[in-house]
Amino acid sequence: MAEVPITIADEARAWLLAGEAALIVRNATRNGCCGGSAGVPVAEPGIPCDIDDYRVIEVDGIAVHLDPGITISKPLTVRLESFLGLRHLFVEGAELASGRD
Amino acid sequence: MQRTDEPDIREGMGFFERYLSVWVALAIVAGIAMGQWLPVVPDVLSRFEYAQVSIPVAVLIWAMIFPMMVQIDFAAIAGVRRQPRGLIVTTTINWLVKPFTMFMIAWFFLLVVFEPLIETGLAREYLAGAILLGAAPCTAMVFVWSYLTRGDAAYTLVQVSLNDIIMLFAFAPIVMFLLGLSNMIVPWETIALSVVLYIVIPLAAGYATRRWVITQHGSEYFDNVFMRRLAPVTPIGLILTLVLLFAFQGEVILQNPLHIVLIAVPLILQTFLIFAIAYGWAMAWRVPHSVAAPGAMIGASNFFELAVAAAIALFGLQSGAALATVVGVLVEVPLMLGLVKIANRTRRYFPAEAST
Repeated sequence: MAEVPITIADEARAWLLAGEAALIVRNATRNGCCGGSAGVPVAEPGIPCDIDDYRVIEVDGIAVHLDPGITISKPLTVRLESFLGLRHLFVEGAELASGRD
Repeated sequence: MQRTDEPDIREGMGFFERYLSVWVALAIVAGIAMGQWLPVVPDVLSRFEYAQVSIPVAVLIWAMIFPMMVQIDFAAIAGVRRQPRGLIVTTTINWLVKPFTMFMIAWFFLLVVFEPLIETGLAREYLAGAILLGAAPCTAMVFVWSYLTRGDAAYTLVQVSLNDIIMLFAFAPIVMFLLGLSNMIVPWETIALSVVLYIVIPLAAGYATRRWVITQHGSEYFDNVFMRRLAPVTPIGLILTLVLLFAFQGEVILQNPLHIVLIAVPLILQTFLIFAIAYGWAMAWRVPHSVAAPGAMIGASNFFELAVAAAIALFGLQSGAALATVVGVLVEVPLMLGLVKIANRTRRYFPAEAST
């Protein structure tokens, strides 16, 4: 299995380790108002419902479930950001994908 | 490191959306034909009213707007401190520049340059439609434009969330102010009602639906099953709204077919101007291209469903304002695909990466 260039920033890793130590990185569909859609890469804690649809790799003690639809043209970093008490994971370096099948 | 190959437009946009202008034009023809030869349809539909709100129109407008609101991820606002230069450019242009340049350009063309061609009262209604378009930057289609310009996905999410939150509070005051400058006095209650009906209610319903579906079925189901099923609702709602709208105002078009072209002139100029200002500013500020392109696209493109809805709510189906917002829909996709090409061909003038 080829190595996937993905790292998890320290804050994100600590937050994930406090929970299930599992991460999903997948494309989320966003529809355009004129029609059309795009796959927006998102990161969220947890284990996917259908684990068979994902590639699972371990990164620094975190089980990363990677959507094969994610376009990886450069190394990805998963980071945690917070604002007014709101915490949110995001994928740095990922590109939008075509929303069409 | 950045990719310089351009995504194929067909990967981001299907047949329907690439030729949206054609379907809009056909909807206009179909609506006019219905108004002329099947007037019973608009007559019957116009009877379904409650508190002066047309129920069929309200349903169609909700069908257009709800699917856009349901996909807003407010949690993404947590990234507001990321790429601050990109967010400063796009927020300033969207809310402090765009509404006012739209007003000035539309006023200059519709009330000065085209004064011999458009009756003043009608020109003011067209100006009102342009104001509504100018106060409603794009909220959803920017994901597609961002994909087509290899935009930064995480940044695009943040700028859309921030823009949606600002729109909640800024749309009505800006519209009120600019309509006032145009001597178009609309009661506060009417504007407030249209904001509640066509922003607050769809947004609240969208948020509640999003939470419920995610709680019941998970976020993957929401994003990749629920959202895909909902995808056709907005374009269908849009086309049906246009058919109905032109069934009501066919006479205006038949008497003034040239007006569609005249209205398009300031809208096209405004689109290029706003893109040029935002994109040029981002370039001068050394914002990376993956941020500059979606940052400029969001202001150039319009949330025209909201503009159409507000025009109908404030001025009526048969108003010139409603017609002007529809012209916005007519020119949107070809214009934005032109800007996508410009953005992709000027990528080399931007830094590949930057830690703004």
